Amino acid sequence: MRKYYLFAACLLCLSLSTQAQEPDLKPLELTASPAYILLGVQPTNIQRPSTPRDFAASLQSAAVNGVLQPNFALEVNPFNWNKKAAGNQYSFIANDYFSTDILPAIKKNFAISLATSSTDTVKFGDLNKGTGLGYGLRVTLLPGTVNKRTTEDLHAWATAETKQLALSLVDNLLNSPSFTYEDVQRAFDMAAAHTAERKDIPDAMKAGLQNDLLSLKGKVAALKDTAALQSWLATEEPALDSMKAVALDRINKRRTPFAREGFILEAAYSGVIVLQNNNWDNAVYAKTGIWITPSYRLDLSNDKDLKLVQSLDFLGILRYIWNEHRVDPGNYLDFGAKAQFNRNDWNIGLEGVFRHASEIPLTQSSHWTYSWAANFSYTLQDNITLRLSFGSQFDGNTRVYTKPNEILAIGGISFGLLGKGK
Amino acid sequence: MHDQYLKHHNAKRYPMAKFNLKDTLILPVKYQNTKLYLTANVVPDNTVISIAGHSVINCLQIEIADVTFSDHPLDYANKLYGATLSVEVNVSKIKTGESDDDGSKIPVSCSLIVDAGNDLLQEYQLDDKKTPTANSRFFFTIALKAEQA
Repeated sequence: MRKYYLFAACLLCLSLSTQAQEPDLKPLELTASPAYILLGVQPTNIQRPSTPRDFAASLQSAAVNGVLQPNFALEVNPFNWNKKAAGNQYSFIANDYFSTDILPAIKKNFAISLATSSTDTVKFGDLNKGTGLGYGLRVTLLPGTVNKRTTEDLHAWATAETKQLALSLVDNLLNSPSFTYEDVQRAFDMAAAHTAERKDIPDAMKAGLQNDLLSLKGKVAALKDTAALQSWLATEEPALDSMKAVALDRINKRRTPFAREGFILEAAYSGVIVLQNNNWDNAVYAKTGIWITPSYRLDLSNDKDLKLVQSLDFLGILRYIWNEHRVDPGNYLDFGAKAQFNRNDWNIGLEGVFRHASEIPLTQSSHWTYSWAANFSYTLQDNITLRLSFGSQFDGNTRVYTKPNEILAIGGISFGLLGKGK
Repeated sequence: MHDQYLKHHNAKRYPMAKFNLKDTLILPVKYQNTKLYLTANVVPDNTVISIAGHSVINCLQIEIADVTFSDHPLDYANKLYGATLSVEVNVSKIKTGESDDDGSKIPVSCSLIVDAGNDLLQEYQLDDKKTPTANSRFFFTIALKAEQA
């Protein structure tokens, strides 16, 4: 029994020490889901249903006996659902990664997010305690491009693959006793037609590949007879096999082969409804936010170490948040920037955000406040991350002012629980 | 000379992985006026990998087509008696997800399904589990014979 009391006391201390960490320094979460940002949560267990049935099941799990449960988080992209259909599941659709058109990028990166959390009077002003329901949309307007090394390797593979298809057709026709040059023409026509229709080769590469086929046909035409063609095929086909294998091996050994670089522009919308006293009848539309996040990523990985993932990000944010007057009498306009260096399991970053409040207390003279932070994050294991932050936060909201520009240093370890399938 | 060496060197480092299956398929009399269809599926052992590749059918030494293998129509069964159907499925493995694994080493299995109309006649299986490579080529050689009454 005594042991039990000791254990309870330890738990109490732990919960008090957790509370003592407030106020928290929130890093600029530009790529997190909008619903989580506005609700002010960082969920570690996010459900990502990949079919309509899973989606419905996830939603059902969010409410028990008609009462919304806190700590629920879900992110879903309905445009990706058809990829789980039989036949599509394992196909590589190159334009999903390499298209410069806006529509495929929007469909691939579109995300709907939902989250719930217990709410308090610090974040939600005069509203009664209850459960907050956050929802959001994220759209990628400009997706950047796949890194140069993978693009070059995929081009090398596609070139060898296209040539191999043509030669493999020639090889098959060569077995016919009535083989003539017409058959070569036929094989190359079929290869050209098939290349134009292939989905595993990006459309942007196809014009160049058709030219490669033409010059290859010229080489075949220059051969003297079928015996010369046979011996040439015997050396050319293994060489093409090797070229394909080298290119594919390099792509497959990279940890994130299709990592993007260059200019990326994302837009997001989010809202929060607070169910006061956990009652739907007392629901209040508490906050709405829209923001755009332009960013530029430099891929600093190299071919010496294919496992190395290294990049430098420059990110910006422009955000407007409308608050219900009981939550906060003022609305916020935020703009800021962040630079972050990422290398394998760790990253280090520096960020700053200026905030303009439309309404301020009479005791304050400026509508402006700012926050800045230096962050270091190290992933010890898949589900354990060490985070250190140093900086200052905003001067509270327009209702409660904390000490201006108080310097904070916060360290901690984040734990997450992952399902079996990750 | 240097190129020759490189080709030789790469050919040794990246051996061609070819997998063959030979069989005889007896076509039942009741399907003699039914069209045959071919379907091929390639499935990896996990979902980090996506499959890309082409397929070549060589049937009767006359008809050659490169197709996406989904219900590809051949001829009526009675016109294919005595023919040898040879199918090449050329598979490239491309890692699309994030993992530390070398995607080239993830084995894939390839199945070739022969249907008569809506009925399944036979399913053939090959895999590259013994020597998984980035680019595996599966060859099915099926002799088509008439059922003896």
